[in-house]
Amino acid sequence: MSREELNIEQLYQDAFKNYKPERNDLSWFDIDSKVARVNFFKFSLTSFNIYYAALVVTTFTLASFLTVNQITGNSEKIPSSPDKELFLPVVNPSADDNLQVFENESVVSEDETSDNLTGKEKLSKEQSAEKSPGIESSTGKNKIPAIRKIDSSLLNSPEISIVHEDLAPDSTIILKEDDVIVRDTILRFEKSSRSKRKKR
Amino acid sequence: MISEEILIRECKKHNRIAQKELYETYTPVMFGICIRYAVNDAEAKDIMQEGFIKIFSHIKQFKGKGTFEGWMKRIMINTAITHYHKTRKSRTNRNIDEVDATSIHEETQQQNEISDGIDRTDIDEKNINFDIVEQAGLNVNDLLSALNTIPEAFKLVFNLYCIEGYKHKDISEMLRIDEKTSRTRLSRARNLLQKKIYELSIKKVGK
Repeated sequence: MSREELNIEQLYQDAFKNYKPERNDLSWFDIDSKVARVNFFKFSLTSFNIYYAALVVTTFTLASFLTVNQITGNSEKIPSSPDKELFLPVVNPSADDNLQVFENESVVSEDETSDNLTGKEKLSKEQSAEKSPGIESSTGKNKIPAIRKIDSSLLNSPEISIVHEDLAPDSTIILKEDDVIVRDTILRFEKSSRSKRKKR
Repeated sequence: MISEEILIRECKKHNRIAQKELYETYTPVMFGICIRYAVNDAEAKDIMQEGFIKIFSHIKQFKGKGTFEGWMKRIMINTAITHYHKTRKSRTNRNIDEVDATSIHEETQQQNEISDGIDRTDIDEKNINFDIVEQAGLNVNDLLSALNTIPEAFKLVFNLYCIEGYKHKDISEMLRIDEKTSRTRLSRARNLLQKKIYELSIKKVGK
């Protein structure tokens, strides 16, 4: 055999062309977790992957957001705490334009109060009424009970709305923005209106 | 046994059972390739695992042009080359461009003298008795051990050119070297392997 005959290339080609070493230590479990990781980042309809995970997370987030939003919305509508003030709407379908909200202080109905007051008190009351506008009738004579803040513990009765019949004839309710109409006042107003009607 | 076509189709759907089946079917062949490029078994195992992961993640790119085994082999070889580039810097390898044949020859002789006590000072490249090589009947493991004694860069070129059948142009692109460098490395690898094989043969026949 000459140097030229010793063909290294041929020797290696023959030896390694179909070389298949049988090894017992090359099990699937060695790369199982790595393949699982690769599969997770690839989209497949049949297996759980990152796209499904993202979908689940997005759905959960949206659902949580909507639920929280709904709960928050409901709590705004129905006061959960008794300390909260109740805002009642005043309904007077025929005299909508005549409704305004007062800002503060009690303005007591003329019928209820003026009879019981002394002359001096009446005068001071009228003066204060001039300074801070109250609920006045269109003629300026009738005054409607004050609209003021009350303790929330009083707000146990069912919701009350003021209807046109409850108001004195040709009365104007002047209501100012940001004021609070509270239930006891309305109740008092209702009571006085009824007693008036009875008297009549 | 599931046919190759079904296996590929199921692997494209990331079916774990099919992937396992494919892995078990082709492990011996792929390991045979990886072991030639790796320094040891553990490294061969790493290259093969990395290669299979690449196969599973890019299997959709296989359009049926050529054999599937050929496509897998190319991935394994590319993985081995990538692995070589990654580990080259970390290894305390000598700069192979500076390694000349004389120094390797001297080094190999010194190592052999230490390991088996045979005096090889009389071995001359030009006067090798190649009958001894024929008589020795070297097996795959002997050839592998001889291959592992030469520098990694030489081994890589030798593997790509002599066994895989790539041209110097392709090799130069794959390894990012000049064609001339590729030829030089191949030549050096051949010389070194001849000597190593001769030494192994003497050792075997002598026993």
